[in-house]
Amino acid sequence: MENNMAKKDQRFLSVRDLVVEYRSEGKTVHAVNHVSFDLSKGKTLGLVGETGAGKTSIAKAILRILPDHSTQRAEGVVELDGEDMMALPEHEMQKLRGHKVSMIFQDPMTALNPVKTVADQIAEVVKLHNPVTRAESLERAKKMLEMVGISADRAGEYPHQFSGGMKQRVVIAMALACDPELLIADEPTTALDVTIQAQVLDMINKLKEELNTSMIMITHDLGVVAETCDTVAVTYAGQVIEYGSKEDIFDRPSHPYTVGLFKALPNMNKDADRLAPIDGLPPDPTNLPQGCSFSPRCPYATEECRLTPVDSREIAPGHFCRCIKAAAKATTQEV
Amino acid sequence: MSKYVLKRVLLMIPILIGVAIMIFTLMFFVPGDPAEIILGNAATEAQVIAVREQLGLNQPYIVRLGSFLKELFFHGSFGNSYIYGTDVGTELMSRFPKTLALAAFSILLSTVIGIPLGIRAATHANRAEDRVSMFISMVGVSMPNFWLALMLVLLFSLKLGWLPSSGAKGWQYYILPVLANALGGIAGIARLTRSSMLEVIRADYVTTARAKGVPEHSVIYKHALPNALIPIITICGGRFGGQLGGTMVIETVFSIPGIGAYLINSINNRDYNAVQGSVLYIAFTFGVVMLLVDLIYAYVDPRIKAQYEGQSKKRVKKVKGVGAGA
Repeated sequence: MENNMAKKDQRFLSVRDLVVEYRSEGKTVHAVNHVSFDLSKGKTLGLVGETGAGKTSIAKAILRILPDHSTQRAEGVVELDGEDMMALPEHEMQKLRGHKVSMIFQDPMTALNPVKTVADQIAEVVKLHNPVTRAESLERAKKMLEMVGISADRAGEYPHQFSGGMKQRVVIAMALACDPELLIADEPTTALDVTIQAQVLDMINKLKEELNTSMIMITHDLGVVAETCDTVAVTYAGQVIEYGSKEDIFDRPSHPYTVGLFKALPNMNKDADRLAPIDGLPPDPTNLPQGCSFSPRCPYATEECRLTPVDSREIAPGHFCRCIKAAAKATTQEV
Repeated sequence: MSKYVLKRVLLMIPILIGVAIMIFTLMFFVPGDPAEIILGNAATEAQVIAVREQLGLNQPYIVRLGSFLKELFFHGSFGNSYIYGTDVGTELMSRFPKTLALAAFSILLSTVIGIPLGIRAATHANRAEDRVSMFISMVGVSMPNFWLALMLVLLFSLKLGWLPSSGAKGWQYYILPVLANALGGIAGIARLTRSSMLEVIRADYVTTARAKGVPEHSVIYKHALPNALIPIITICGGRFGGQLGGTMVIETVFSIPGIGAYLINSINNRDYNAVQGSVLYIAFTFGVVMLLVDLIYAYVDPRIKAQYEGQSKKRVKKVKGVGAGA
C-alpha cells in the first residue's frame, strides 16, 4: 500500500480508460479500447504494437488533435501534473500543446509545411508560447536547429531543400523548442534509414536527459524500445495487453502475444532457418472479438478466452497482463 | 528568377506572331465583304470595286499578310477601322479602362467572397452549412450570366429604379455588370476552394500546426490556405485574363463600350483591322496575365520558385553529409 502511494506521487502523466472510436463508412472503428497507463517525470514509456494497434490514436487523443471529421468518440481521463486535460477548454489546451506537451510526428516528409521556412515553423511555436519578439524567436529557432545538428545558415530554407533525416531533425527541433515536459514521439525513426535512426535516437535520448523530459515513445521496433524506454506498454487491437518495466517485458514476457513478438525476432546467438511468426492477422477494429482480442490467434486460447473479456491484472508488482493464463500462473506462484 | 521572366517575355513574341498570322488567315477565309457592308445594299458594283481597291482588299493573300505584319511589328499599328476610319490601337486604348474596371472588380468580388465561403464550407464539411452553401453555389455556377444580367436589370433598374441599366458614365453603372459577372465566379471559386482546402486540411502538416498549439483560425488561414491556393490562383488568373479580353455578353447587355463589344461589332462588320487588333490585344493581355499567375505561383510556393530557378540555371545540388554541422 505504501509502495502504491509513492507511485501515485511521482506520477506525471496518468491515462485512465482512454477510448477512441472513429466512424468510417457507417461502421464504428474501435481504435483505442480502455487504455490506461502511467508515466513518471523524466521517464520514457514505450508504446509498442503493430500498425493499426491504435498507438497514434492514443497519442493524438492525449493532445486532443484527433481528426474532427471522423472521430466519433474520444473519452477517458488524461491527467498531466494532476490536471485533467480532457476537461480543459480548447483555448487552454492550445496553450499546453507545443509548450508543455509536444509531439514528434511519424512522417517527416509530410509533417512540415512546404510553404514556410524551417526557421519560421520553429519560431512560430516559440512565439506562441513565450513573450518574445519575432527576432528573438528566430534566434531560438536557429539555436534549436544547431542543437539537432543543422547549420543555422540553412534556417531560411524550405522543407523541400532538406533530406528526410534532416526534416525529421527539424521536426524534433520544433517539438523541443519550448522545453516540453512531455514529449510524444510517434515512430520518430520509422521513416529513416538505419544509420540516421541511431543518430536520431541518440539525440532524443541526450536531449531528454538534458531537459528531464518525460517521453512516450511510439514504435513497432523492439530494438528502439530496448535503447530508449524505462517502461513498456504492448498494445494490441487498441488495448494495452501487457505493461511493465522494460526488464519485465523483455525478460519475463507473459502475454502470448508479447512472447510471440520476441519469438518472431531473429536471435543472433542461435542458428535458425525460419523465424516463428504469429499466425493470423490483427482483428478488424470494426468487428472486435467478443472475448480476448488476441484469442483468434492465440495458441492457448480456450472457450472462456473467446467468450469473456479479459481484464488487466497485476501479475507481479508493476507488471500488468491482460491474459487469464498469465494471471492464473501468477496467483499460483504467489500461493 | 529574372532570367525566367525574361525568357517568358521573349517567348511571347513568337506566340504573338503566330496569333497574328492565324487570325489574319481566318479573317481572309471568312465569307463577307467589308466593302459591301460599308456601302450598304444600294451600292453599285463599280463603287464596291473602288472601295476594295482603296482598302487594298483585292491584293493577293500573301501581299496583304506581309503588309499587315510589317505595319504591326515595325510600326506597331493595327491600321484603321474600315467602318469608323479611326485608328484601331487608339480605339482599343480608349476602351481598355472600362473593360479593365469590369474585369478587376468582378475578380475582386469573386475572390473576396468566394474564397472565405469555400473555406467555411470545407471546415464544416458535410454539415448543414456546407450543404447549403454548396447548393447555392451549384445554382450560381449553373446560371448563365446573360440571364442573370437580364434578371438584375429587371429587378434593380426597371422595377426598383435604383441603378442604371446601360452605359458606363460612372461607378454606379458598373454595379450590375460586376454583380452579373462575379456571381458565377464567386460560386466557381467557392466550390474550388472547398475541394482544394478539404485536401489540405487533412494533411499532416496541418495536424503538426495544431500540435504546436496554433489557434484554429491561424491553422486554417496561415497553414492550410497557402497550400490550397495554387488551383485557386489558376482559376482566378484564367477568369481575369479572359475578362480582360472583354466580356462580350455582359458588355453587350449593359451597352458598356469595352473591348468585347468592339470585337463583336467588328466581326459583324467584317472590319478586318479591328478584329485583328482586338484578337492580338486579347492574346497579349492573356499572355501577360498568365505570366503574372506563374509569378504569383512562385511567390506562394517556394518549390515552384525553385523549379523556375532550376530551369534558368542548372544548379549543382550540394550533397550534405548526414551528420553535417553536428
